[in-house]
Amino acid sequence: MNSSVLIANIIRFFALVLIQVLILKNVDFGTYAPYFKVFLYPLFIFMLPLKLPTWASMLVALVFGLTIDMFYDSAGLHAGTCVAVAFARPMAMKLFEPRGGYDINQNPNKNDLGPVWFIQYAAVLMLVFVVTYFIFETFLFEKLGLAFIKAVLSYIVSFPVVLLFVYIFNPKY
Amino acid sequence: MRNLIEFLLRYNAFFLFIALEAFAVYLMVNYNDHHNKVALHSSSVVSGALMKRFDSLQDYMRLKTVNDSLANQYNRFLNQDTSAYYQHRTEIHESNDSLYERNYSYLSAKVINNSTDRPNNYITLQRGSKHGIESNSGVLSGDGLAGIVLKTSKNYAVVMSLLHRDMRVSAKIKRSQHFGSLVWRGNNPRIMTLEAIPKHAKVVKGDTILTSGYSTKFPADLMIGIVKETKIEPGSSFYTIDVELNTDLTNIEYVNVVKNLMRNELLELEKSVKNE
Repeated sequence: MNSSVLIANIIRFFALVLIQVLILKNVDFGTYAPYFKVFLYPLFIFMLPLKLPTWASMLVALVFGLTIDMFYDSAGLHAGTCVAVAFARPMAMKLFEPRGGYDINQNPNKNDLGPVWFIQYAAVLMLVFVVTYFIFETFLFEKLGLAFIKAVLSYIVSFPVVLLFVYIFNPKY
Repeated sequence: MRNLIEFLLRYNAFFLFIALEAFAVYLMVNYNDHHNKVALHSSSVVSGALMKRFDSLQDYMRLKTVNDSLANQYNRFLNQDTSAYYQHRTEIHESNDSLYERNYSYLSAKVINNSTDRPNNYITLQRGSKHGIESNSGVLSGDGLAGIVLKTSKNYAVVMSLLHRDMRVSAKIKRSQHFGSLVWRGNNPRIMTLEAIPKHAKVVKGDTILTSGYSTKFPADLMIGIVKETKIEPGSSFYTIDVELNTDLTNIEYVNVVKNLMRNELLELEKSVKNE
């Protein structure tokens, strides 16, 4: 892992936390606020280096999630969700593995692996994220149906924001 | 052991995932109101069901002790209940009128023993000499006669039932005022026999039989029963009349004991005549 990848991830860590808690957290859907939540920050986990071992990415995701939790005042909720996404990441990578496997120098972005790969990959992980998030948020098995409705609605508003971010900033590492 | 370590290493990501999620859930439950409430609720549902099972098991194990204590309690209540005590209170209603001087007073008494199926039957009352019962007093049941007091103790009295071979009650036929003596012949507890009614008297089935008042035991004109059958035995100059008793002595619960207040005066007078 070269230093530019490390620096890029550190910068992305803080940038996404700031964007999430300063801007997206304040997006107000009025009475529908519980149903629509805009999530951009999972992108950080999506874009962790491909070769990072799962245990390491889960620990990083935990710290990242706890950081978000501090601002959302929801200890453990985002952390647990981020860990789940980090755990699901290798499966998504395996699902969309190109013929011949991943190159050692490739990073999970649309430049290295192509926009189609990235969109598929991000779409699946984003789904994992919202579903896990709302299951944790509801916490009641009686209300799982409501959790799925919230997950779908939030997915509809969050995923375009993720794509928008990737297309605007076009991160290379 | 080695296999276990290899297994853990191989699936390290999964076990770490479980551990981290457990940590996250721990944080959620401990620091978020909503999650805390849900967790408490769920755990109370689960633990409640478990505790209920365990409790019913414990209840079952305790049944023996509970039975013993219930038996003790029952015994205690039984000892406290009024049925275990002797009632001393008596109620006699007096009326004061100078035109009438009281001749009889009646004392209510509970029947605590009774028989009707033997040749000689007795009734035991829960009243005795302490309450003013004297032997040779008449005893009335609700709608007829019951017997004559034989013997009294402090708290109890034994009554010779009407259904006794030695019973003699002076009775009369209401319509003709002929009097005779009522005895029991020892078979049917509803039937007594009226003897010594002369042949010339006119007796028909259905005639009412009353007390004559010719003894100190019963007041006159109390209903005893009705004539059921009349016959004259061959060679006899008296009727043998079957009387159906007005009262059913097989189910009496309370009786009234007659106290004749002028009895001694009467007896003394009659005695003095005999002595002359």
